Amino acid sequence: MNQILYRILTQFRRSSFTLYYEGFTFIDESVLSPRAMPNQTRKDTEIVARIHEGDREVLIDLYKQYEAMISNHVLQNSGNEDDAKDVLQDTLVALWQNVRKPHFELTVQLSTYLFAIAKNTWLKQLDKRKRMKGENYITGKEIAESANVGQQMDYSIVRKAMESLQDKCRNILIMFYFDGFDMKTIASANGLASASVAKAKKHQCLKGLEGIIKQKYSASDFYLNTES
Amino acid sequence: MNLNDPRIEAYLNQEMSEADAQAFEQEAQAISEVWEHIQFQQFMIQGIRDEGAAELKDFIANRMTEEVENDFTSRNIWWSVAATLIILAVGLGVTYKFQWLGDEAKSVVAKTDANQGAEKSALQKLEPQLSESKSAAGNNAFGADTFLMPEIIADNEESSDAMVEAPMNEDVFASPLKDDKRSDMGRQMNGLDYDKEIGAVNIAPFVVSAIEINNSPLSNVTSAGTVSKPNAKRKAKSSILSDTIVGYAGKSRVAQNAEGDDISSNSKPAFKKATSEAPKQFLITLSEQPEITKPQVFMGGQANGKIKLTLWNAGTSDILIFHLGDEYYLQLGNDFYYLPLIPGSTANLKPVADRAILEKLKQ
Repeated sequence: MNQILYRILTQFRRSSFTLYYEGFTFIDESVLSPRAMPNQTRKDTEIVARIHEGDREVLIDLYKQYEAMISNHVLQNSGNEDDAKDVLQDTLVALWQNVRKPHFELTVQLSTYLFAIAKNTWLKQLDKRKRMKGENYITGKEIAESANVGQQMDYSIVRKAMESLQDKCRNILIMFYFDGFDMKTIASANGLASASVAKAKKHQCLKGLEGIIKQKYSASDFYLNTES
Repeated sequence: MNLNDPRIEAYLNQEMSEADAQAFEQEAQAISEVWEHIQFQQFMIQGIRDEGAAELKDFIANRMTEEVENDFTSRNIWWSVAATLIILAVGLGVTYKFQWLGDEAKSVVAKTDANQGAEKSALQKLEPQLSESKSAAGNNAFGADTFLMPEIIADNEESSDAMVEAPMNEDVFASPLKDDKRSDMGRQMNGLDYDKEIGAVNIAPFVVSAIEINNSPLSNVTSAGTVSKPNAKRKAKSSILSDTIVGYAGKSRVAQNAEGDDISSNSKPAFKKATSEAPKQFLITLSEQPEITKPQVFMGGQANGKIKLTLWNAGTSDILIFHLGDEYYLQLGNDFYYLPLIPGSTANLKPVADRAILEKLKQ
C-alpha cells in the first residue's frame, strides 16, 4: 500500500497521472509507461526481441509463465475462469501491439508491465460491465475523448468484409496495420518480389476491402446502435 | 489536397509528428471528401487491427488448447506407463509368490522324502549291526520293517535283557512330516489326531527316541548315544574305556572293560554307586512352544523302565546326556545344561557355568 501511495505521490508531482480504482486496489497507470524503471532482465530483453522478430510462439511461453498470476488477480476480483483467459489473451495481444510499435523500449520488468496491462484490461472490462448495468456513468474524460458517444463504430463490418478477401491480401493488411511489419518483411513473408511490390499490393488490397464494405454495407451500418 | 495526397498515407500510418498531424487534420477537415475518405480509411484500419488482434487471440487460444491436450496426452502416456509398470510389478510379484509357494511345497515334500529316506537309510545301516548284536545275543526279534530305537549296545553279551525293541510310542516317535503342520500327509502317516495329541506343539521328528546310559568307571562320564551314531556299538565294544560313548551294559558289566577285566578296584565311589544302580533309559520328546524362549525340561515319570523327558525348545536335535558325579547334564548342540530329574515337574534348563565341569563334559 505504501508503495502504491508512493507511486501516486510521485506521479502527482509529475502533474499528470491517471488512477484506476477497484475496491482496495489502486493501479498506477504510469507502470504502463515503459520508462518507469530500468529494471528489465536479460530474459525480458530476449522476449522483446522475439516479439520484434514476429515470433508469436513467445506469447505461448508468456501465457504459461503469467497465467497463474493474472488469473488469480481476475478470479480474486469478481472474475471467472473465462474472464481470466480473456484478460490474459488481451494482455498478450496488447503487449504484442505495444512492443511492435516503433521506438518501443521496455524499461520496467516485463512481469510488472504485463501485470499492469492485465489489471488495466480487467478494470476496463469491469467498468464496461457496470456501465451496461447502469451502475457507472461515463466520465468526463471519456466524454472528452469520444466525439461520438452513442455512435461507436462497428468494426465487425470490416472483419466480416476481410473474410471475402484473398488470404494474401488479408495477411498483408494484418501484417502491416496490426503487426507493424515493414514492407520488406511483408514481401518476404508473402512471396512478393520486393518492398515496393508489397506496398502496391497492400494499397490494392485496402482498395479491395473498401470496395467490399461499400458494396455490402451502407453508412448507417458503420455505427453500433447503442440504444438497443 | 486531393485523395491521392501522399500525406494521407503518412497520417493514417501515424508517421507524422504530432504538430504535422494536427496541421494536416485541420487542412483535411476543410475538405469534406478528403476527411470522409480519411475517416473511412481509419475505420478500415481499426477493423483490420481488430481482426489482427482477434487472430492473435485465436492463435494463443488454439496453441494453448494444443498445449493442454499435449500435456494431457503426455500425462496420460506417463500414467499409462506407470499403470503398466505397476500391473507388471504386481503380476510378477503374484507370480513369484505362487512360484515360491510352489517351490516351498515341493521343498517340503522333498524334505519329507529326504528325511524319510535318511531315516530309512540310518535304520538300514543300523539294522545289520543290531541284527549282528541280536544274533550274537540269540535274539532274532528284529524284523526288517521294524522301527528300532537306536539303543547303544556296549556289551552284547549281556544286552539281551537290556536291548529293548523300540517302542512304537507315538508320543515319542514322530514322523518328519509331523513337524510340518501344513502337511496332512504327516498326520495321516502318523495316524494321530495331531492337534488333539499335542495341541500347538511341534514334536521334533526324529532325534531322540530312547537313550540308555550307564556310568563310565574311569572318566566318571556317562554319555548317551544318539541315533546319529550308529557305530556306537562298535566303538563301545572296542573300548569301553572311551570317554564319550559308553554304551548300554548290564548291571554288573559296567565294572568291566571290553576285555572283561574287572576294573571295579579302580573305580571311584561314584562308580561304585553306579554299579549298584540300574542303568537309566531315557525317552526324550522334543517339543517347541512359541511362547517359551528358553529351553525347559519336563520329567514325566517312567514308562517301561525308561525315564520320560520332554525337552521344550531344545533348538537342536543333537542331544547328549552325561552323568558326572551325582549330576546329570544335557548337551544341546554346543551348550551344556544341568539336567534336573524331578518327576512331574517342569524346569528351565540352567546352563553349566562351572568351567571344570564344562571341560570334562567337552572331552
